[in-house]
Amino acid sequence: MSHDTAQETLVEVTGIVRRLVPCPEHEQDPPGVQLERRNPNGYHHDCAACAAMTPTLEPLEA
Amino acid sequence: MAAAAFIINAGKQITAARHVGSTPSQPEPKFLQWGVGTSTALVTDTGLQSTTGTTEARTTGSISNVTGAQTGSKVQVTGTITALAALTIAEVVLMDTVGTGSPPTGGNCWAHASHGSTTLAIGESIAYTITADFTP
Repeated sequence: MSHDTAQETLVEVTGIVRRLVPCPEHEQDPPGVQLERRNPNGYHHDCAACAAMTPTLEPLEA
Repeated sequence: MAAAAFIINAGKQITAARHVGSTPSQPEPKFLQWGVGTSTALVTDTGLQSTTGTTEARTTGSISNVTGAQTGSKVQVTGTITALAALTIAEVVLMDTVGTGSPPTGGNCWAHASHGSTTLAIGESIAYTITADFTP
């Protein structure tokens, strides 16, 4: 039997963090807004300023 | 906390069981769940250190074989989890069932990884890509 530690399974985890940019109308995204009441970008769906916002993407820290 | 990722010891039986049977009884380990535990992941772990305490369901990831050193020699799972509360996420697992309850429990863990503590507001998310390379 042989065992080469270089042959161990390598597992890699990467990620993209999707962050909500503070809405100028709300100063910050209003806390506690239910997800179902958010627009597809994650912002408060009743707010026109929120609707114009898009999240930023950043890499997950290792 | 340092980044670390393993197919945990208990998860190796999942890998083995997926080989057996024309329709393996072992489900795919494609269900992502995150947690708030900040210790470095170990191969001897059995799952998350700490669940978030909120109601994020396990995400059913997209699982596929991708090419590494050999054609199709990697297993890759991708999926996104969205925060239902303000959280600091530092670990993720791949489970073999969607689980039950809030936060979900049940099933067996295949892979466990720790990563940098990531503070999220409600509605923010992490799109994970977890890749196991069987022939590095």
